[in-house]
Amino acid sequence: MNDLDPILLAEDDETDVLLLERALKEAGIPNPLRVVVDGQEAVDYLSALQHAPSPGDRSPALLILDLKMPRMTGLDVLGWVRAQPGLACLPVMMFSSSSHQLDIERAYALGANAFVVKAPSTSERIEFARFIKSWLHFNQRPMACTEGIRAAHAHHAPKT
Amino acid sequence: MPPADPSQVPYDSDAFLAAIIASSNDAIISKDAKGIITSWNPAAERLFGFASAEAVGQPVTLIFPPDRLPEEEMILGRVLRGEHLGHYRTVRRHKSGELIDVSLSVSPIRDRTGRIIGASKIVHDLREQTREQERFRVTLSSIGDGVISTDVEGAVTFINPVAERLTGWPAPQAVGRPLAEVFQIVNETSREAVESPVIKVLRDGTVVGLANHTVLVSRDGSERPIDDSAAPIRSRDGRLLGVVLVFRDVAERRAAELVSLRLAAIVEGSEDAIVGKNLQGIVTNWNPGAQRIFGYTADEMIGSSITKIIPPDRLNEEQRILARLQAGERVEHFETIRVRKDGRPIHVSLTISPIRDGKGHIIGASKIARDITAQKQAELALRDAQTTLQSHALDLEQKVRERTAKLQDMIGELEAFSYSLSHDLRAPLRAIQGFTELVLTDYGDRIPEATDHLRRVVNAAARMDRLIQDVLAFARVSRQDIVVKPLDVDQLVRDLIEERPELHPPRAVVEVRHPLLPVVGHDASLTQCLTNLLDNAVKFVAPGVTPNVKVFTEARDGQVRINVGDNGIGIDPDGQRRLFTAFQRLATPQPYHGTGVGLAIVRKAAERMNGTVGVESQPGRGSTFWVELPQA
Repeated sequence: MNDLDPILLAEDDETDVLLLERALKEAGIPNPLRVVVDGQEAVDYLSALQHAPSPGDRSPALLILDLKMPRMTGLDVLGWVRAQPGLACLPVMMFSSSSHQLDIERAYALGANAFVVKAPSTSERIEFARFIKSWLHFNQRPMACTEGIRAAHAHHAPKT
Repeated sequence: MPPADPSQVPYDSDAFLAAIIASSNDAIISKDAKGIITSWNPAAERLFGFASAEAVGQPVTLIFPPDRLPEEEMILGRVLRGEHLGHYRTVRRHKSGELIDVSLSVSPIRDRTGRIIGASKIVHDLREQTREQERFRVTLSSIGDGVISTDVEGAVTFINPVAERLTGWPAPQAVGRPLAEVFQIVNETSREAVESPVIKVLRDGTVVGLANHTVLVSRDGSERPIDDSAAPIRSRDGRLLGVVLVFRDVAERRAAELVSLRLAAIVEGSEDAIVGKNLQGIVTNWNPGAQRIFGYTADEMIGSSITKIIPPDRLNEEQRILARLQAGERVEHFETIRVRKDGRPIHVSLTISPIRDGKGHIIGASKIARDITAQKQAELALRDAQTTLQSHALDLEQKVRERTAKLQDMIGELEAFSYSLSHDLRAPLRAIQGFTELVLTDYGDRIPEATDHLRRVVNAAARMDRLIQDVLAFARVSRQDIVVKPLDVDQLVRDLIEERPELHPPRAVVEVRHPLLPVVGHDASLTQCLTNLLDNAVKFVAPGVTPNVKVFTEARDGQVRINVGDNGIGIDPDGQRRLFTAFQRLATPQPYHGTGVGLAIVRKAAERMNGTVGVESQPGRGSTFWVELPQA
């Protein structure tokens, strides 16, 4: 069992999921990838994690949100996330097909940590995956974020 | 006739005579040749205040005022010579000293032998007559009309001040002259002499009434129209004593008549209705204009209520108008509706003024009504036209709003379109390019003969993606609101080059001639321009040639031209013309195909910053592209 925090990817386009999965693997990122297919599922997943976490659940090390998704868009999810006390410090990367200025403005206004345009070429995508790997490796997260969910684990589930 | 001469009375009727003398109203006095009073009748006692006993035996000078004393000698002398003095007017004195106007008749008294032994004197009290005459004179003098009296011969005996003024003859000169000299009259139109009414009176003995159109020619030749009348003056016994002529200057009245005639003509001839009514609203005057406008004749309206022409729903107007008139106000240009005899309503403009009598009391109203139906219809038509115009304008505004809304919708849709273009159109391209590359990576060595084809798929997908991005960029620079401000071009270019590896050796040599002049522009737009120009400059070079790019600025008449010169393949004049238009294909070799949008973006961005773009180039000798912006 991988005890690293997962990367949560909310993406409705299967192609983009496959290409990113491949790139992340190629970059050699050890963290597991959890995929949800729309915004609502992302919210459901994160809610469940907060209120009734199963023993193996861990707080995501990174949330990658596609911008355009059915039910709830990436921006909707971002807004919801930032309103949750336990998720306020969750690193969120917006993942978009275009660098539409308005989307970038909105994303940062809602508290995004990054805004990345999906690369069309494999080489760029792998370069991006390597950057994620380095970032996950070097980035330090505040206690408040991780401890919140850990505390929830301790409360709801017996230790394994 | 003077009273009977006592000397002619038979001497034997003494008692009868005594009775007459005693009862006479006139004072009868006799005196001897020495002037001593010998008899004094009761009338003399009354007239002079001396009793008979006081007077008889006294000189007659008893009753003379001192200044008249010489008269006695003259009178006595004449009487003693046998003369008779009739109606001699003089003044005598009352016992109280009061002076009395008297008329004397003095006759000699003879004895049986015919010798003159004294004089009889009849004294008539003129005071009453004088007072009456004086009153008469004063009255005639103060009368407003000219008054001239003549004697039976037609000689002027009196002329009052008004007549003096009108004739030009002062009384002292006029009195005694023939009337025809003083009072010259001619016919106003024929200019012939008119028979003096005085002549007519003297001839016929009757009152002569006003002669019409008579002109009096005064002494100085000036003329004035007069009315005159003449009447005989008769004594109590009916004898004709003279004529009194009364006349007046009628110039003013004649002028007033003329004025009122003119006014009447104006009223008659007026196009407007001119109507008089009293305070009860009863019509008193109705001119032909009123008949024309309202259809009723004067006969039909005069005596009727004005409400005949007022529509039932406007009857209260009349009350209001009458109230204002009674307050002495005028009503001007009051526009309302009246009804013609034929029932047709007409628009009228009323001007109503109070009519006052001589004392200033308001007794009615004059009303001038103008038919403004045509004017009103024109106004209505105009208003209709304005309304139509306004509704057209509103329609137009509405249409403009709708179109604007549609355009905004369209812009919104375009944004949504370009948004979805950037997202959805690029996703399949990523799949095509991504999976093709994966195939090449994973299986390339197993299908070497297919790798070239797969690479072409990858290139095509990549170019398609660039094209989409360029089109999006073009749309963005066309649409976005930009605010220009001074820009440090030198720093901007320095940063731009630093960020882009393709602009550095060994891939290219970019020389910047520092310092670049500052401009007024928009940061992102200028960055976009220069990025595109630099990318082009290093891209379109002949095979095997290292791109060499020179960036420099020059001040040109308030503008700064930012030049990007290259050592590329150059562009022919036809190409230069089409260069900055989107989707133009230039006749360049295959490897140099761009998206055809980059320079269109440059031009659009420059134009949005109030700038211009251009190129100088010769095929095979490189090109210099430039952007010109206002100098900062």
